[in-house]
Amino acid sequence: MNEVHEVVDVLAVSKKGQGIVVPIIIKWKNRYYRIREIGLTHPKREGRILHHIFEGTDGNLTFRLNYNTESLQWTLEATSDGLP
Amino acid sequence: MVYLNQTSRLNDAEPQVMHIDLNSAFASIEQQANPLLRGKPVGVCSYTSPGGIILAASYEAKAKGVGTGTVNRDAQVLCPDIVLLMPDPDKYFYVNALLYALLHRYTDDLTPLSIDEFVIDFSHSRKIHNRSLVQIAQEIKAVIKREIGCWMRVNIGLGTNRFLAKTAAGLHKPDGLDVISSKNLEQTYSQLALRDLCGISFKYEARLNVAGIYTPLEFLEASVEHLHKRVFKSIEGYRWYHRLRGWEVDSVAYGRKSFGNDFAIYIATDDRKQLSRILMKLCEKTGRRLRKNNTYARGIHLWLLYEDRSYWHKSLKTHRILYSTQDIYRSVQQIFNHQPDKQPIAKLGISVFGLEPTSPEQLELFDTPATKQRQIATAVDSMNDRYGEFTITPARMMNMDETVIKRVPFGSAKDLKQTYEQFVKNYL
Repeated sequence: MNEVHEVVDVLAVSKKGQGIVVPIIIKWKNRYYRIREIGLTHPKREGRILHHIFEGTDGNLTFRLNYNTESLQWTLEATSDGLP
Repeated sequence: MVYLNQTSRLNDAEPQVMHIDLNSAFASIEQQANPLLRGKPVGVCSYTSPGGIILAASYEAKAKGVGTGTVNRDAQVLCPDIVLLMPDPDKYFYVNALLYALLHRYTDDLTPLSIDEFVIDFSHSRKIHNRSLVQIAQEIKAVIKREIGCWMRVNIGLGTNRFLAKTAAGLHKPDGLDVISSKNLEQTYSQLALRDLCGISFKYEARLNVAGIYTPLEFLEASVEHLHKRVFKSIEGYRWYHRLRGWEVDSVAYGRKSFGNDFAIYIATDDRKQLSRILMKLCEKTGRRLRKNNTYARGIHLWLLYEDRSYWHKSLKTHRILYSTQDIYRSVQQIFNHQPDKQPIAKLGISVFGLEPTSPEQLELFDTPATKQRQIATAVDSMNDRYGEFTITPARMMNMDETVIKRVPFGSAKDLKQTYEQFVKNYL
């Protein structure tokens, strides 16, 4: 994974029955990336602040997004092209 | 206890113990999280540098000879396209907590054996009487794929005791499902080597060989006296005699006796300042665990592995209770100063023992410095709980965020059940 740690614009939808929003489109460095598959999500707590980590791919890059439930901001933590 | 009943009979009961093992757990979870890694060789390692060690290899990497314990530089020779990743303990823990919650639907008699292994005893379960355990196992596999992820595969074994269930789970990897009962026990043993039996280490194999036992079948045929008096020379002989026949001898819960942390230094050093900083962080992590479990300690142990692979360790029983990080650090420094040869250190670890619950607390008549220090430790812990780990630390730990990082707790399952239950309550 290549570390990024940049706050990004995310278009997300709330899906019935899944209990949480799902990121659909990321705008990063003036480009739009459509997330086609979310591989895994997991919660992570830093003190009292709950974060939700999403790992999803547009088919070429995998993005690790962090949703901070206190600041309501999305941070692109890292990307991966799946290569060594 | 069962092993005192020296029956030579195989346990011919219906297999009711199920062992569930997440295949190549950490690597599979990474492949589940990142779809671009699926079908590729992946190694989750201690560090991604050439000297790092592979903790978990994906099946694609295993097919090229990379396994747990392979050094990264060797792994890259065996498998040049391997993707090396640092471990992500929060992610692995979450997946295993999900798995725990999922398995808990079937029965309450569920025990985590390690972070990626569970055992279920169905013998007291009433929920599943109308279906066979093989059908239940197939359903568990399907539910895991549907609810956790399509890349998650588990091996499931069924047996009359934990040992046979685990042995069955290891017969066909990945995604296997096998049953060992009295009917196929001898045939299964005939296809295995001694080292394939869980619990038979290199040293035990040597002992068995010296006693004329070279195969699991010969092990099964050996008399209890032979195993007790000539091979193991302890109660282990009785245990193995019954374990091999499918009688339960391993369903024992051991309480926690210590808390500890260790750290491998990238370049061995004898720099006192650096070592003191590492020791302080180890003390802080150990102290946090001690206090989270509402315990004091009455003793401390320090071990050092030097650059030349020689080893030194020492324990100290303390008159005063160990509770705050400073208490632990002071005692560990006392031991550290006793080391005879001050050579460069490659790895070091501490543990505290002699655990006692903090309540009921023996109150002191007057406020002593120790009481105040305990109150400070409690206050600092509550701030770190609120604002995040290591928000407030001893000054000696400044700029050490990336040193002694969070690790996956291999092997130990003492607190897992309680932690999973807490996690399921909070998040699921």
